[in-house]
Amino acid sequence: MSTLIAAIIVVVAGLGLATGGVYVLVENTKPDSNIQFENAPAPNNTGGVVNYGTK
Amino acid sequence: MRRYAVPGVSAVLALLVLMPVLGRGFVLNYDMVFAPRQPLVPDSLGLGTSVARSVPADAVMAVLTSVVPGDVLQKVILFLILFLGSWGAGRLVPTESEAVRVVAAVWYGWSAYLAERLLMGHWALLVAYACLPWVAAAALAMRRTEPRAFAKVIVACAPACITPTGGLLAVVLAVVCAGKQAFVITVPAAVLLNLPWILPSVLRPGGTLSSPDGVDAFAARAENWATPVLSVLGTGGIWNAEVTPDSRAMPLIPVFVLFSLVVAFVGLRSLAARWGLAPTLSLVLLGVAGVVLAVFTTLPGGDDVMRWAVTHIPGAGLLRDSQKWVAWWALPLAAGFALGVQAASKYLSNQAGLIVVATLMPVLTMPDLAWGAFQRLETVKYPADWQEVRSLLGEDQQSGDVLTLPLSAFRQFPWNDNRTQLDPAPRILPRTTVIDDVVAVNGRPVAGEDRRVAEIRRTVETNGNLATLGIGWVLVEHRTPGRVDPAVLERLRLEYTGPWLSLYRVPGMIARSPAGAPALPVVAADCVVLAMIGGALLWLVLPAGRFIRRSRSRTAEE
Repeated sequence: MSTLIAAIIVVVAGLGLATGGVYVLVENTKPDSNIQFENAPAPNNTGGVVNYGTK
Repeated sequence: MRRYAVPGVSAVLALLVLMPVLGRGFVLNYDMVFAPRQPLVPDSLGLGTSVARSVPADAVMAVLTSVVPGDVLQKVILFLILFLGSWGAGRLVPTESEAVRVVAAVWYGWSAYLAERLLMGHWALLVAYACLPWVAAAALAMRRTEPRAFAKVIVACAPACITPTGGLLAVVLAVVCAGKQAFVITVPAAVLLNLPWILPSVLRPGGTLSSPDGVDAFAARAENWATPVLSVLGTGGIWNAEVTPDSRAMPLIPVFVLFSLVVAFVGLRSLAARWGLAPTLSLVLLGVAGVVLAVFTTLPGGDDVMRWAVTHIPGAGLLRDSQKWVAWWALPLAAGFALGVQAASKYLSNQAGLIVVATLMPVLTMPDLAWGAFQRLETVKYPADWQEVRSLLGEDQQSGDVLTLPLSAFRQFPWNDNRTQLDPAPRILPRTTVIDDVVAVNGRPVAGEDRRVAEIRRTVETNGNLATLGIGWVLVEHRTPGRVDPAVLERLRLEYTGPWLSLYRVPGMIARSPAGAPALPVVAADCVVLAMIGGALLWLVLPAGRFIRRSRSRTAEE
């Protein structure tokens, strides 16, 4: 029983550490989207196409 | 305490993914569109001219959002998908060890399939994915002739049957797991449960043949240096590179997949010893069939066969985005891996360590599913323009459907961080709304199936009269790519304009919209299916079945 509880604790702690750490990294490195949007021209009537996806 | 381990870990997993999006607002990415209150229009039941891709999901959403706000409903559904999928997989594994069940739960609930389809916005497909372990459990109980198992199969399959692919995933698994002795019951039930989309598809004028362009565009792809086969065996390999988590491109992933296959193979032998050979073989062979279907178009000659199939066999278009069928493989992989770990732990002194490592493996090899897939999923609010247009269309007496411009199925709005998203208009506006059904992959168009849309496109391009095609309104969506010819708008009368939307009235007499599938048989089939699901629920909830069992056992004793 104690092993199981220890395992769960380790799993939860591991998940927290892994994702928390990466989250902090991503938060620090992602571009500031507001700046991009302010500079972006309104795309309507400019032609172009919205891709469903790329391979 | 122990019995809460699997649901507890499943809930933690679900929260780990969805925590950043649990607030108010909508998650709108690719095919995922929820609206504050979805209208019930003919297309929701497959009675329009468009192909019944989201039938009866749209009708179900229309009913549910009349009670619960759409954004709340979306979060509840997404949470239940992740929570119930993991829990069901853990529960399915025949073992005394809760820790081994946890391993299966994490492997099923933190899979590449789930991550990619979530980012692709295929929430209804993921509903089916979450149902699969519960369907398998109920069908296996039916094979063992346990009481009320058939009712459980129906209830477990029902949520999955809100879309064609989801319905097929669930009912085929149920038929296979329940065994051939039960075919006489399971096969008719499987057909019945899927009638809400089968009937509109069969009765739809114009048939359901698809464009062969989509065969290459939607074929499974290699996510790293290995072949598509290995990507698919690791439950990944979706056609769209944009929704594949970056971690799937790591060079070690194919090695990790091969390792998991070896462990799963060991575990599946152990599964056969506990369940019996026939049910285990059924589950595994169906999984293998899913993998073969998924990679078929990437094999030599496979794309030619598929091109022929989609252009000649009605409904074969369901096989175009073939990686969807890998859902069948995810279940034996997760259960087999967990039992393989249990078998291996007998030879190790530090069993807890092994379990912990096995549990953490999916998370550590694909950490970028956590926290809303590293904030690729975020909540946004619809601009007020949408509510204004909705009210205006709801109150106006003029008949006619709505056409959205620019002609494109997908949008990129700055208010949604320029994410690619399906045009939300058909799920917000209280009238049948026509959107373009041509989609672009790598800039190349993949033709749609709706002849009415093709006719409307020609009319827009030649600046013809839209009223003759049953279009009474034109909605122009601003600041999304695509050109709107000013000459088309000059013929129309502006009724509303805002920063994001402009609504135009089409002047003149509006022709009647072209007919779709006949309503009577479709609605009758829907009622039969509802009655069937309601009956199964009552059979599970009410004590009627128990009285029969008691009286039978009493008769046997006498």
